[in-house]
Amino acid sequence: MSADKAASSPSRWRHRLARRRITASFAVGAVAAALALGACSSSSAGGAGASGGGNSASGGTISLGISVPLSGAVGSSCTPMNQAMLAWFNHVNDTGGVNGKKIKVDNRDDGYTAARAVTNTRAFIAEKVLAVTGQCGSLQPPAQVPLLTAAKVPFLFVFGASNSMLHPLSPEYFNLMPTYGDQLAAEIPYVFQHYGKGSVVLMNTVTPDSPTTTTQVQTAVKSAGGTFLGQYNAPPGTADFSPYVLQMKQQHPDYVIIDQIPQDAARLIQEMTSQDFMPAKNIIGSNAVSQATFLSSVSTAVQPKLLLTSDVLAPASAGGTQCESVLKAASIAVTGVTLRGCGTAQVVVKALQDTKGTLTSQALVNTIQGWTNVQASEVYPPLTFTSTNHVGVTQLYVFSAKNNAFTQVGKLSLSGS
Amino acid sequence: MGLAISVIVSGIAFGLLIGILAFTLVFLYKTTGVANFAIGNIGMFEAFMVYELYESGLGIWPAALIGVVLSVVFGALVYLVVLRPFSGGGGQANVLVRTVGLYLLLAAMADVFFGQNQPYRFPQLLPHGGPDAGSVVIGWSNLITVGVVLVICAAFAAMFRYTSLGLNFLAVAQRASVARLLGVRVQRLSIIAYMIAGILALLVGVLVAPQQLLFSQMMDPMLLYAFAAAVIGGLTSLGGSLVGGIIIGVAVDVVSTYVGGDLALASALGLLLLTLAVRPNGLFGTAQVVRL
Repeated sequence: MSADKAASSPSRWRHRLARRRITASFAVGAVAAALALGACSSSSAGGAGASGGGNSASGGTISLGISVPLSGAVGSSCTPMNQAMLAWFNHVNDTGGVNGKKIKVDNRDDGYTAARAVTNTRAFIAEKVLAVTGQCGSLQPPAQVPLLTAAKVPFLFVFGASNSMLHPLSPEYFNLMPTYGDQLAAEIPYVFQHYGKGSVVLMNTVTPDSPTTTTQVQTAVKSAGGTFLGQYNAPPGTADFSPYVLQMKQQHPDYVIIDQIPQDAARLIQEMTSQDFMPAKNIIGSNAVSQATFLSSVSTAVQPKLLLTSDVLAPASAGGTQCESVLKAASIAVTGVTLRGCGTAQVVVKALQDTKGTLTSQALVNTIQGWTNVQASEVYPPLTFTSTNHVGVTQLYVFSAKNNAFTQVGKLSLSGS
Repeated sequence: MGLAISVIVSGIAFGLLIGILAFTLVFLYKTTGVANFAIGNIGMFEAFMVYELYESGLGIWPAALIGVVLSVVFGALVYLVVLRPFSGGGGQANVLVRTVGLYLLLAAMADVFFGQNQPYRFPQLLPHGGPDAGSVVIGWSNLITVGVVLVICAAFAAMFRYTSLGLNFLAVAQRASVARLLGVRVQRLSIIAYMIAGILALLVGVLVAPQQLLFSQMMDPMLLYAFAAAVIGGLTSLGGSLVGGIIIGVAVDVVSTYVGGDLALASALGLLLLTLAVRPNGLFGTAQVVRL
């Protein structure tokens, strides 16, 4: 070892230590950021048993519970829906109530977290509400369903669609909108019939449902005489969609099917535009994206390519409905989301009205399960439920779009006809 | 082969965006000694301010120019209101946690003020279209971004190397207490650093928003990639942060294409860990002498 080297060794160690200290502080910071990001995108699910039977309307009121994100990640899109529901319930109360009884709503914010939704649900059970309704989002219902099932309180019409909520089926859980996979599987033969058969690629946001949706889409494409070129799976919040778009571009598909959350779908289409790529025919999607917030982020040049399903009327087709007048009277903008809120409240009221005899939770369940092609709302198609089918909508509207507005171009049945 | 080249080219374009964010992180680290986790969301929030000005009827360029002024003020406020008060007692860990808190606060505020109807289509500052290289379109915006980045990088390198301001920044970052004893006005320098960082963050925001759309979480994935890029490039190297960004961008796009999108983030973090293990001071990082 040279004298020079020997003299410099301790100093080198100090340098290394200093460097590592700097690097470690960055690494610790990066981990902290990762944890913070994780904390933003996840939440703890509470769970506890609940006891008791179904409840009944008492006195002159019908008690309902609503746990809904009025804040948090989806608060901005769920709040208008909630306001529209409350506006319709107020309108019903102002015009005599349901068979003479007023609707009383315990409206609570769950911040799009399962833990708060569970807390709210326990409160509803303690209050002996007749039913819980008005939920918006897919994160909280799985935590609510066990509690409500145990308490035998109906859980009516979540704005969200997930296979996991239907298999196994809770006797208390009812939904209006079909799963996204069911919607796309029904839409494909309709599109092939009206716009021509062709080749298809599928773009998924990775969710627990996406493998099932992929299988459903693949089967539907083959059954309808098309060619399934492949599927791409991107995690929620993917920052760069160019790898997927470049691969699609090489496949020259006639159709691109989007099974994505709205923000990711908008970013995919943005990247498709940047890369000068569009499918030869259309972009197909479900009601996950037939929303004004998605449409406003899509270039007007691309909008005519869209073919999206919806379980509620387009705002442009809602003129003259009672929902429109009630929403306007309450100074609420008439949009797809607020129409959904108003329409969902109409379905709840219709179920309450149709229940004969003593209004109990179980009687309400029996009423809904007995519906066959019931026009329960102005904005939803006729609804059919059975004891084994708790998804009411069996027909869907098909939207295209132009100049930032959806236009209804057709209607299809979920049986595929 | 055509696909591979296309993916690499698009990865470089994506990497440049990551690199600019990493550049801002490294700049703040070099000048204040703090890795600021909020910088991505500062850019997001400033981009929202520009968007609101644009929506109020201003053209995009006037809105952006007013945005620059607002960003300078916003940067100074971030330092004066959030980071400076009582920062002496808790050390760097305290300030670091404050930046994480600010990151979350800005996201929540963006949801409150701008949340309805997001994501928004942010108007393009730079021209549409671009030359078609094989099967990938290299946007004019990407090419102009490269030029802008190179100019900024050169300007900052020159500042640190040749100006007393840059030297003072380095002195404060190394040891603020000693710099203060030597007459350096630490607080004033920190404010200037955050003013400059405010402008850089705005640049990141308005370059990212047209491509990623404007919404409160738009910087979340970018931030993690940027930290990885900063570590890979070398924590004290501004140019290294850009190289790190390009490495991350290409790696993420190649992995997304040939392995699967699920592993894109994992590949970036894997590169980060590999760099820490094999080359602890990054590719271009320089050693810092600490007297023990």
